[in-house]
Amino acid sequence: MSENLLEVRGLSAGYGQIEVLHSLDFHVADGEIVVILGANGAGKTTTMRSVSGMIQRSGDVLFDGNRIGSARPDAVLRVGISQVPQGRGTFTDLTVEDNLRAGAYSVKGSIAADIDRWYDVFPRLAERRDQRAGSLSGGEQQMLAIARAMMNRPKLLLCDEPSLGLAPIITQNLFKILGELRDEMGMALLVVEQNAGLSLQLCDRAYVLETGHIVASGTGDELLNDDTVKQAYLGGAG
Amino acid sequence: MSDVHHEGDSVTLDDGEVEMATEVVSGKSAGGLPVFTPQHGALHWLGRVLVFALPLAYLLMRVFGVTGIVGGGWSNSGLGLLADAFIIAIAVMGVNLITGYTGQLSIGHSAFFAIGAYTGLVLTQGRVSTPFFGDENVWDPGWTIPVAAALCFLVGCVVGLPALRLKGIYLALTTLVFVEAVRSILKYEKFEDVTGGATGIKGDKYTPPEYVFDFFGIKLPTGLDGRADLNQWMIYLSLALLLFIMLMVSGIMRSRIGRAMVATRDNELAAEVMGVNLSVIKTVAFGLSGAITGIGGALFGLKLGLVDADVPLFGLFGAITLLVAMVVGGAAQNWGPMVGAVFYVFVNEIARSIGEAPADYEAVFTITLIVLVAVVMVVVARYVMQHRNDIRANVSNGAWKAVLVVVGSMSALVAAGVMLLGISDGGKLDGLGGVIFGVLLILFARFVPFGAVGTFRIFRSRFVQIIPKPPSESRAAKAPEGVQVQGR
Repeated sequence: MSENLLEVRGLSAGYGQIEVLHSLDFHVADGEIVVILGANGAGKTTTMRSVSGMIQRSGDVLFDGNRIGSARPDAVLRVGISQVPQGRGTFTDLTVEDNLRAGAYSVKGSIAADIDRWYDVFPRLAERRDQRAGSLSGGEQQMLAIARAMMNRPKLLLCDEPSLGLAPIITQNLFKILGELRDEMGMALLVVEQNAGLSLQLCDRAYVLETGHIVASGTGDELLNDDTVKQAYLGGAG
Repeated sequence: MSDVHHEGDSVTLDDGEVEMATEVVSGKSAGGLPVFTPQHGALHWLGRVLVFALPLAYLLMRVFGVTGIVGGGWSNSGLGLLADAFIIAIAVMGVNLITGYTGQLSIGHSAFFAIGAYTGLVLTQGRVSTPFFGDENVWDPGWTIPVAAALCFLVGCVVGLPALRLKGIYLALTTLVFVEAVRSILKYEKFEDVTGGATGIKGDKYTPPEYVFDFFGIKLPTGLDGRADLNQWMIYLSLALLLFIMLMVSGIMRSRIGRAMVATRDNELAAEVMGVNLSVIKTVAFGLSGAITGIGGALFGLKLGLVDADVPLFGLFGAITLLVAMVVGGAAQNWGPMVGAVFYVFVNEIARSIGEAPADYEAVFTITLIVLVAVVMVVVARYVMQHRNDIRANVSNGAWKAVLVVVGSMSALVAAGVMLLGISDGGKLDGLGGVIFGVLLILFARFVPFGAVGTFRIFRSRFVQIIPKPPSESRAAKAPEGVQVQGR
């Protein structure tokens, strides 16, 4: 267990008096893609926020030998966890390039090579580097959000519902990109999703989250063929 | 998706390629029809003239006393008004930094204006003991300006740290309380020795120095005749400071801190995810913006030579004024405060003089002229926005329509002016100035929400063809490392 990149034990979190997550245990190994599957209100975004330190939480969170169970977001970022927030969160009035620079807010030293590199990966962003990010399409903004998160040179990338508001074909390609990023960079990914069909095909392992409890876990294929998952997320049909 | 077959667009939907919905790029012409570019954009230049040149020309006429065309008679005080405009522009720069760029609504910046003004007078009048500075506690006026900035920065940080944890309307209310609190403190009788209590401080007016600098005998004379030329000196001083602050703000906005500010405004959550410490960024922005507004306040106090806590600009009225000037000029635009403040000061002055003067031909003509300029600006802006495709498709036809719209609205307004002249019948137009000012502001909020400078930018971008930059040579030649997701 100790070689896991991210190790979460007994994670509870919520907002004010209301507890949303009830003692979650999960882990992400080096270079692994892990999906947390859940319906609306299951606690997916809360899980992301409690890993990245944006809300009060209790429990152990170990990352790469660091205890980050009570760290603030900037500290979590510095140990190597980047997050693509839900709804992309691009800075609409900054240019594409300034969005990338903002992504490297916590990086010390030169970032010119990083910017060039992500322009190579996403040529469409290079074409639009001087355009306001708000003028990009939804798919382009998601690319930008991912590139921006990668500017922090993370070891683990958290993606909060990347498929939100995107057409199926764009979602499909997005997941393909995420897979390629992992293959090329040996980076780990933790993705929360509602889109069970696509995300289970992409991932190595997955957890199913229901009202703040993990109710199932297994490899992507196992869960794809699991009857409960089929019922709840794949419309019952095989 | 609908533009996939757009002429000249090489987006293809190969397998695996992420389809980035192609947008209609401004200025792209379907079927090879003429495209507006800055070189031959007649309407583009018309917009530029309307937004900048007309108000500027009017302003210069006022300042240099060209009378007989649009009233006149206050050319001497016109210099004072221009200085006021630059001073208020500095104060508005401060509001623009926190509200325009960082997105935190402050209805409290007139408090910094008041603190700055009081600092200037308290120090020049030697009302506090400053053992190591000043000649018997009496400071040189120029040195009070940095002190006012530093004091306002500190006050801004202290007030901002708790206040900026609040959002939206709660923050606005807190800043509103801040204004009244500062006023009460300034009036408080226990501090009378320093602030002069309810009666305030009456000092001498600032005497302009004889030399801009006196550096080991190398002197640059100002060429000013002492106190008589105070307004002229204030214009130089405030314009120099305004330009310096504009340069500084544009530098900040290009830096890491500035990006963090805009990021905080655009999406707090995402900014936090990027590692931006929201409370630090907001507090620094609030302190900086307070310092800038404080510089404006110090200049205001020094120019006026007297302050008391009931000066309208120090209270709620002032806070709203600063916000209005920011919106009129264009929020989050570096040139916005200057345009907005000039607009505010001069329209306010005209509205005031109309309220006082008997309604004569000149007054009505002045009103008509202002309304005319505003309405023509608005109408042309709306027209161009709505018909930009037609205009692009047929330049001459579009230009004719524009001329028609302009001439039509002008004649309608002249007719309205003549009617107004008939109605007023030599009586006083009391209060009408305020009404006109209000109507203008409503028109601005409705039709020019990005302010004069912002609208100009939109105008420009509509007519400038955005051509995607080709990938640079070095990038194309370099062997791509990492994943190549979407290649051509």
